[in-house]
Amino acid sequence: MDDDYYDDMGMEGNPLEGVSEEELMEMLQNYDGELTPELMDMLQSYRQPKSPEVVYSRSHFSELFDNCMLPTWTQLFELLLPLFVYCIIFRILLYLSHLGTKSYGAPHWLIHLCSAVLGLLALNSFFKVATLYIVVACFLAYFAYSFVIEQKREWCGLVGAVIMVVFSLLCELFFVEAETWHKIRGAQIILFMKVISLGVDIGQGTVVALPSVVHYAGYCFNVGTVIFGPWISYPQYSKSLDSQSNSLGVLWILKVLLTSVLGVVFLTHSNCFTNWLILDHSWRWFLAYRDAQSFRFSHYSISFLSEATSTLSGIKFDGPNLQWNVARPHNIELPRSLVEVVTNWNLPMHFWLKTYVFKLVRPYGTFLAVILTYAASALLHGLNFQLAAVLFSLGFYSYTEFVFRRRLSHIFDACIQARKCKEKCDHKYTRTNPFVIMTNFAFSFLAVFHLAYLGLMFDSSDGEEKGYTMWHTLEKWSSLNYLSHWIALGTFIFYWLI
Amino acid sequence: MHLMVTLCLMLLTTDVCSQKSTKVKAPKGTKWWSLAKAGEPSNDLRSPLTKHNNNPSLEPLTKRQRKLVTKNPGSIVAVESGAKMAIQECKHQFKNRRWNCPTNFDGHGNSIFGKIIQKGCRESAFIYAITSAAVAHSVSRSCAEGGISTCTCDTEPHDRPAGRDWEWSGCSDNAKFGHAFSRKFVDILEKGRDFRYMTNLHNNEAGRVHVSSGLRRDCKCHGMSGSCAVKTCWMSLTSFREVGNSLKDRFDGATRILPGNDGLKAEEENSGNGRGSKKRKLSFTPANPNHKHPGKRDLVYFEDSPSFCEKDQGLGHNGTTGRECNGTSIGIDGCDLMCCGRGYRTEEYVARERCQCQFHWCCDVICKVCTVNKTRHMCL
Repeated sequence: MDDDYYDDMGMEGNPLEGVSEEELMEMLQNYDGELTPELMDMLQSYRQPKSPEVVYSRSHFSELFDNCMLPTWTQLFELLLPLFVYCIIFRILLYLSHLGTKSYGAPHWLIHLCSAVLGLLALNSFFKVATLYIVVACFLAYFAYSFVIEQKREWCGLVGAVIMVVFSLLCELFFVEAETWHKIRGAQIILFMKVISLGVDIGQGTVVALPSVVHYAGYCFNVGTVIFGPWISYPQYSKSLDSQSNSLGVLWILKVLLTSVLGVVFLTHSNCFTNWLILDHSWRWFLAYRDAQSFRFSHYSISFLSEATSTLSGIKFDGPNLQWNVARPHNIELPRSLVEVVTNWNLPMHFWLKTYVFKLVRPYGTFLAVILTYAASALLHGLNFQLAAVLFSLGFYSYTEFVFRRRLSHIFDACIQARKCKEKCDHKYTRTNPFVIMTNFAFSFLAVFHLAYLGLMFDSSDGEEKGYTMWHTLEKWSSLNYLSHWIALGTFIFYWLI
Repeated sequence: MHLMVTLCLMLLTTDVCSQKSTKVKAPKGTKWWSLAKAGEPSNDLRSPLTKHNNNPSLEPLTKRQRKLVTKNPGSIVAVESGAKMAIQECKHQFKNRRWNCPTNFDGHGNSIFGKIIQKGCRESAFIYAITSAAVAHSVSRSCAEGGISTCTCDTEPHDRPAGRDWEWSGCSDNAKFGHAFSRKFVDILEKGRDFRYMTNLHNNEAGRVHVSSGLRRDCKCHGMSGSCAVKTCWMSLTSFREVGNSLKDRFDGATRILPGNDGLKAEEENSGNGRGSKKRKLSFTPANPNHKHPGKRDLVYFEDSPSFCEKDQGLGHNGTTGRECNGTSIGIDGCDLMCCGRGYRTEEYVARERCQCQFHWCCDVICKVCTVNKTRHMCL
């Protein structure tokens, strides 16, 4: 009996392969043997989908540590070490140059040269040969400026913008491989902003004369801001380098340490924890939130690292020392409104867009100014359908939200505008009123929802290295039925009606 | 011809005991499994290599295994934890079946799984696959942690291929290393040319393939506005539980095989390390010609499993007498099947459990102890 025990079914190898359900039922009807364990197994496995391809389970924390956190840290350390070293070198040189008296101190051009050379070294350590595109763009603009400043000084900004846009588009469309371009795009955007702001400043007379080549290169390739940004204006740069009060104080060290550590923490969260906390089989809106959050944290980490490198190299921001000057995550993760998100996403870039696009175009009409601001922002990011779609959606959403909340605020006389009320406002219901709190909370929730929807396509899928395609975006949004767009449209129509 | 083969197989399997003294004689190499019984690794294991040959914990290994282990300092620790992992996983996967993966540390160098490994049944196929998989998994893991100095994640910039600055293949190489190590370490044992050894080799490899294919490389770009200035990559090795689950699936759908028509092939292969290593290739066909040929991931067997109902000292299995069974299940863990129709006794017992747990700020959980009446069924 023992020998025959498994023979009934066991002989068949994998009996399920190629056996349809009807065949199985027929077999069972004609089958008059004992109900063997093998048969039971077989029936059970037939009922359940056989060997599900992916098993979702939260791995152990130690596993996450070994497989994700450690590699992330080692790679990050390896990548960032040169940049940080160059920044420290520059800071020390800067410090030494201020030690001497006015007549014996290091000449200015030497400091600018150091800034440029170290910046180029940093660029080289990140982008290798692709650094050339950035260098070429930089000097192309310089030659243009040196011609234009003779003829028509106030056109400098416009000429700079045209040159940078044309250069970027040509590179993106014809000359540079998608992957390489995608890699250097961040540095290109920073350069873009620096060059145009300098052009406009020259045109308006804020910067008296065209800086010398060395000064210009020192500004464009400034070691602390060349890779991750943030954008700084030329006067800000010059002031930072000249400033005598620039000491190696405790606050300075504290800020560098804090921003670096936070940068690494955010990056670790983006890489490892988002996917660990919300598993792949969750509800699709949770997944959207997860992917969007992963993208947002990646942005914070870059922003904080940029603040760390720029502070380390001695750039001074206007704000108080221990305030975040690039991105403010708490205002984005728990937003009051989308307007607040847009502002706090990248403060220097926000300032740049406001100063060099919005304010310049405003005399020709506010609506045009808004449109052009978002267009400029989209152009900055290159010809990328995904980013353009997100930016224009964001523009539409935040505009709708702004006007809608303003209207509501008027009607109810309450502090429910997109921006926070001032301390002493003349609204009847101030922010301590429970209804105001509830309304604001509801708008916060709406903002979080919109953000999840907008950010979800940055999901580090295959297209990431070259930039995502249009289809990727539309596919992602259509999987959520364009719900967020419909809601925004509904809000807008509602605003029209009231 | 067909009959002859089956007859031969019958002889091989039924007369295990009689042949043991002459031919099979407890596969020597599988003794490494008994590393699992070793306690925590002593400090000696991390000491200079020269000591390793005399280290008592290397005793269960064959000469070539010892050489391999000595060449890769630290790997013995990984192998040891792999052996433990394999036994634990095997026991977990089979806890509801008649054969519940019994192990026995007799200390005489016999296989700790008992003589079932000398058979060619599904259970033995699973044992071979899970142990080989465990070594591959454990060694890969140990590599990533830097426990094995010959395969640490290489982060030297000059070793990275030019132009691919952000590539980082350290840990996929670790998985390859684990696979190769396991192949060298485990397959060394199967030196024979007969059908059984070939089957074991196939099952060993199947186990390893399940580990390697569970390895995924994820990357993420970081940079201004979603550009890719910083790209970080990391590996995710699936947990060994998942490997165990998928191997159990393959166990359920294992293919019964017969030696191929062209017999066994032993191909001379002079390429590679130059020593003319013999690449042994298994040639077999599914017992049922209508089934497709078993793939790399499939487990194969050529012999029926015993019923595992009665105690079988030879196999090291105690039978199902006294095993607890599930009174309500009609599956394999149900009392009917588990007890092989001998019936079962039901007993009530009083269990003391933690209950009504409350969380107290901060941070204690305080529970009461309740007595609960419970029922269990035991096979006669």
